[in-house]
Amino acid sequence: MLHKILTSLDESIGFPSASAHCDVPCGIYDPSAAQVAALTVVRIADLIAELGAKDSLTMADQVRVARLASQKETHCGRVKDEIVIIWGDFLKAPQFENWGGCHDLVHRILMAGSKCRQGVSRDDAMALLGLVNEFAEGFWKAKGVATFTATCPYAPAESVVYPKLD
Amino acid sequence: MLGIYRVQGDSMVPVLSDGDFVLTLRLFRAAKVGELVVVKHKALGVLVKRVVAVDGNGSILLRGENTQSSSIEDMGRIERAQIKGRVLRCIRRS
Repeated sequence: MLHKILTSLDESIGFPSASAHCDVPCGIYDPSAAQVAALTVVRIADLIAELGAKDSLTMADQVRVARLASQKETHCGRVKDEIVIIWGDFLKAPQFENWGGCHDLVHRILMAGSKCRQGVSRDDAMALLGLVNEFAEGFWKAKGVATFTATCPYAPAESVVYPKLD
Repeated sequence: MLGIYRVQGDSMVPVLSDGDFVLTLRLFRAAKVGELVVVKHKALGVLVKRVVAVDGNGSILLRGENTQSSSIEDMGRIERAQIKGRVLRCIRRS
C-alpha cells in the first residue's frame, strides 16, 4: 500500500534515486591485452613496410594492405579501450595518489593510439608500445606486483613489461 | 531532515531491491556500524549501503549485501559530510 502511494508520488514528483551500486564482480583487470594489441600495431607497421618496399603491388598485395590497415585500426582502438577500462573502472583515488602522472600517461596513450591509426609509422607504433608498457608497469606496481622486461617470444620481438609472478 | 529515495540496483538484495523506497533521516551523530545509510559518493553518485566501519572522525566504510556490490575498496572511505542520512524505514515493493 505505502509502496504504491510512493510509486504514484514518484511518477509525479520524482524522488531522487539512491544506487545500490553493482559492478559485475569479475575484478579481472590486466594490461596484457593492451600490450598485445600495441605489439600487433608494431607488427602491422612492419608488414605494411614490407609491402611498401615492393616495386609494384599485385591485387593480392593490395587486398593484404587493406586488411592490414583494417586490423591496425582495430588494434589501435583495442589499446585505447583496454587502457580506458583499467583507468576508469579499476584505478581509484588511492592508486592515483600514489601514481603521479597517471592521467597524463593515459591521455598520451590515447593520443598515440590515434596517431597510429592515422599513419603507418613504425616509430609511432613503438612509441605507443612504450607508453603502454609504462602503464603496465604502473598498473602492476599499484597492485603490489613486481615487473620485469623481456623480449616477447614472437614477432615483432620487442620489449614488453611482464608481471613477475612466483 | 527527512528524505525519500528510490532504490536502483541489486547490490542490497535481499535487504533492498530495485524499485524499493527508503525513508532517511539526517544524522546529527556519527554513523554506527550496521546501519543502512544514503551517501553522496564522489565518483559513484548517491548510494545506499551498509556501514561496516566508523573511524574517530565519523568517516565510514561501506559494503553491499551481496557479491554484486562494489567492494569496500572500490567505494573507499566516505567522509561524514557525505552522509545524507540513515535509513529509518525500507518500503519494499512487496
